[in-house]
Amino acid sequence: MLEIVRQQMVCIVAPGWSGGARLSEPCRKALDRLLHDVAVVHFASIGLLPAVAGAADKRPSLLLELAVEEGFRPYDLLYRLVYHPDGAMWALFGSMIVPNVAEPTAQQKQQLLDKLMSWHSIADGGFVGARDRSVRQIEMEKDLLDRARVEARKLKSKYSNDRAAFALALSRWAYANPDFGWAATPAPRSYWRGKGAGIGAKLIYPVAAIVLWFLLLGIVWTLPRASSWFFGAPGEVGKAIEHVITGTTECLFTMSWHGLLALGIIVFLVWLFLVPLPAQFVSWRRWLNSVQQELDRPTETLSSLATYVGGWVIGVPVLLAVFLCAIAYTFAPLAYALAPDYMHQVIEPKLPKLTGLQITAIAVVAIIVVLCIGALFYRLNRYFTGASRTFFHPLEEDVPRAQQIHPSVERCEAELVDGTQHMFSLTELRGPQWWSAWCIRAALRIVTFAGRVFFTRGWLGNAPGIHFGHWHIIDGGRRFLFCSNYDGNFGGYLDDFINGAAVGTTLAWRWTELHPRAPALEGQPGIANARSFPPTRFLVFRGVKCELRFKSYARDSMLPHLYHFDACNRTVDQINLATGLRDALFGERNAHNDDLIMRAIET
Amino acid sequence: MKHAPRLSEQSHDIQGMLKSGFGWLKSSRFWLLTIRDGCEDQARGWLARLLDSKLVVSAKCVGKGKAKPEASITEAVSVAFSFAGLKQLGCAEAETHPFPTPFSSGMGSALRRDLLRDAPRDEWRWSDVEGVDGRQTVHILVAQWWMLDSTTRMEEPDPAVFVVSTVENNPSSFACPDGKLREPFGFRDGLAQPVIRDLRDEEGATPQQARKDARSFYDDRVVEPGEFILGYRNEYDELTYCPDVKGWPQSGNRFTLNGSYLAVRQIEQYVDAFDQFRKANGQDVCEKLMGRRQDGMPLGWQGPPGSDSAADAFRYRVADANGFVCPKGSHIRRSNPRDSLGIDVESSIKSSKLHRLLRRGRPFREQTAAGHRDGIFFIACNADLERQFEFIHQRWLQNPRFGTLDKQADPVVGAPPGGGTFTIPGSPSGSEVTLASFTGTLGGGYFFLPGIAALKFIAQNRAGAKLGSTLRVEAAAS
Repeated sequence: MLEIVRQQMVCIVAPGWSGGARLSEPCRKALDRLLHDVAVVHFASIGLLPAVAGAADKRPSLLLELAVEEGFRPYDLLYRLVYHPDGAMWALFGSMIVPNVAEPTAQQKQQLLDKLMSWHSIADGGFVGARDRSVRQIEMEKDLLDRARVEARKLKSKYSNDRAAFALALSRWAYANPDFGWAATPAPRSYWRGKGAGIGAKLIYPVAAIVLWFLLLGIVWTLPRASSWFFGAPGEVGKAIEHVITGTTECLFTMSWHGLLALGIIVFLVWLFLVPLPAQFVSWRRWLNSVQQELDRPTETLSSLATYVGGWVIGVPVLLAVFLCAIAYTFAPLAYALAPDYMHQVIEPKLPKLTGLQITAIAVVAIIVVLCIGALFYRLNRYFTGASRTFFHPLEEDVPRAQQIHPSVERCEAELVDGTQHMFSLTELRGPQWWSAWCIRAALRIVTFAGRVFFTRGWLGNAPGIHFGHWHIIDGGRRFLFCSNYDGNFGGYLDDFINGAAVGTTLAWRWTELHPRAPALEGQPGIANARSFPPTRFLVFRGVKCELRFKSYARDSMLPHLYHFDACNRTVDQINLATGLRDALFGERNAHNDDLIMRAIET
Repeated sequence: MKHAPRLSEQSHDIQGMLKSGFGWLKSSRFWLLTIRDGCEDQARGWLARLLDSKLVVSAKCVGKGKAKPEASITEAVSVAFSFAGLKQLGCAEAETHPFPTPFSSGMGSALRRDLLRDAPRDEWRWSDVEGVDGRQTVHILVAQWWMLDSTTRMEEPDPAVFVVSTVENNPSSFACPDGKLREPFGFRDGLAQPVIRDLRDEEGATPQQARKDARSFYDDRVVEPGEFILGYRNEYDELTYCPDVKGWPQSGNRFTLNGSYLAVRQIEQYVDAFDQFRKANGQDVCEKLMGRRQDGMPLGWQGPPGSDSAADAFRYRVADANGFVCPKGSHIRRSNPRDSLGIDVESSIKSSKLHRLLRRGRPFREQTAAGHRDGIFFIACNADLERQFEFIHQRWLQNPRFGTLDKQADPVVGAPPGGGTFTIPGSPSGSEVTLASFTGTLGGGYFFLPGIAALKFIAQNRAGAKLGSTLRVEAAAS
């Protein structure tokens, strides 16, 4: 499933670029024609990566980023591009294969294709926003929206105040128009983004996995018995094997349901402490907020200290106790299997004999005690906040050379101000690089999975406006490339990350740093001073929340593009609106759909 | 690592316009000054005398004691410098803490014209960058406010030292019976200002009354000081970046502490065009364009006008999600979308607080052979030009695809020279009106409003004087 997403975002890093910092106009036009013709590419961008530090060849690498429709294997995509009659890919990469050849032979084209395959990488992780539709779908839905607006202007006087009749008339017009026959079927979306994948569908997979596990245990447990039934009673060795299999499966079975029960209780407690209790008790809610703030933006004041003390007094013991209980309960069957006498004679007498009612009462009292301690520390926190303002003077970290943007990067932003914005960010992996690469890949898989299965509205967390965002570990695990296409300006985009997708962004970037590097070519940005990603806490906190440091880090890591292609210049909101109109026009007539049509046509 | 400053201990160093718009001083003049080559010392001398005159009031003076500032302040002046102006006066930015790129590149640059989605700038008379033919390069911006019908004490800049242009007061700005500020189209102006935490000024009302009138919405307007004043905690709970200059003597604090950036635009308002539009479409449609009633109250307000605080106490998401009351593309909804753009109310309010401006502009009037030109001299104080002014201008006001709108920029300040359209959402579906172009920009620039200590440093900057003369000698030699 993740492969489908990752294949949508491809980067080709071709070393040894000997051209200049601009692409010729004919080359740009040829690329435009090529990408329009293949009709599956949403975005394409070309940039220059500075040579890797210490490399013998100091020439920059040419980077081609492609964001394409779902369902294309890289080979199929590159084959289409290379064998296009215009030969734009040869114009771009040909000099790196065979210099000074204008018209490649079939063999040279195959060489180019092989080389591109060796240079390409699919995303190590990524997020696809509203571009889970095909290019053609977006264009056709835009056409439907535009023409529906024109038609609505004609019909408006006839149905001045009757919403239902107005919507019905537009719907009839759309149905009757042969140009929109394609729209009669519901808008195709990927399974998780479509209407099929509700909460039930998302739950069915883990439930199915659990059922299969128990089924597997049952089959294994049955095997020796089936063998006896088919082939008669086993010998001594057979009996021993049967005994081992029976004991192991029964132990695993008991451990599994114990583990499930423990997990269920933990999930319930997490939900209880994070959802209903904060809603019910203001002091608990504020206490949690202060903990969150201290994790993200520690003030290092007395109130901060109070939060820490409270966190250690409440949080750590409770979490440890719950965790240890869950572990003990889960692995108790194993202990009984391995040392039954010890468990019966030594451990059991020490355990209190509690009824279900008693256990429930203890749990309720424990929850009340935790809430009371939280309230107490919240009061202390408030007191210390006031006191800190009077006499405590926190130290603040200095961020040198902040809010600096290279002119070439600003020029790129200015060129795309009326379209979808684009960015390249290049950083180095922190040492040891194999460890950083492994951690980043694991984190990115989680982000990709969450983006695919849970953030199905096309927003990553609470961050709107992302069309594609993808990360690649390149140059043999030494460097880390982030490419993104998004609505808005870069500063606002980073604000969205900070406020809306802080955990995912911190996870993606926390194992990187910036090393000094020379510009790829004159006029391109370089880096003068090394620096690390803003400090994080418990892997996912702080990090991007250090606004000044994070923005400075992201800005300095940026590279300009030499070329940018956008197949259909539409914002995420516009794409969603057009799809919504299509579904509403061709869906059942009800108040919701009627209103959606009215809102869509009024601008 | 360094200690964060305390705002309460620094108000003596903050220029008064960050605390108050001086609403009781109903005359204003804005001086656009270009230092003539070789006159830097005289320019510094003039600045020093201006400081000695005590007309550059501090935030502390504005709110001193229990007495209302109206009693003690009859004239006030604020002084700000463009990047070119600071350079001219010998303030070279420090290597380690340079000025932010938007400020150093200047609003008048071609790059920022594109980034800000400005229409062609053929009409611009002045800006903050050097080397554009036909435009004055403004080095120093002086804002002057004084009591109506009284004389001023400020020493006027010497035309031998400066190239001087002025933007004069519009005498009809406060002419309405209620004595409140109105812009040339006749709408109340200066409402819905953010309240700087720990530096509150409610323009006449007591904080208690303002809070009471705002009901539960009061906190929507309270913004951390670091959003407007450099060196303090902002809405990210981080200290705002403070650039520095070479030779600044205070090791603990930086040159820009207690300062702010001003985004300034001189906007001409085509009153005749607006009046014709009003005549053709009615006052209701004009109010829809603006997003407010003419008296400043929200469009959904029932009954007689309330206080200024009540006029700012509303949200959109629950009461007006579709824009039936205040259209989604209206001027005030674009410039402050409040709770309407994010995923929920809380995150939207939090997000919109990252993009607030403290407005200190005044209407102007310029006499011409044919009559007069009216407009507004727009001044927005902010601490992060990119995140605040530029974001609002580029992504909200001038964005033709704002929200789900299509090909519609701001109806008041964004309509292209040929005019545009404006959607008024309604039931069952909205209507559109055709707009004329109601405004044009005559000039603009980014300025740095220094703290008073930094202002003294600029005025007495002997190091800068030496640097300036060295530069002149080098220039002459080359």
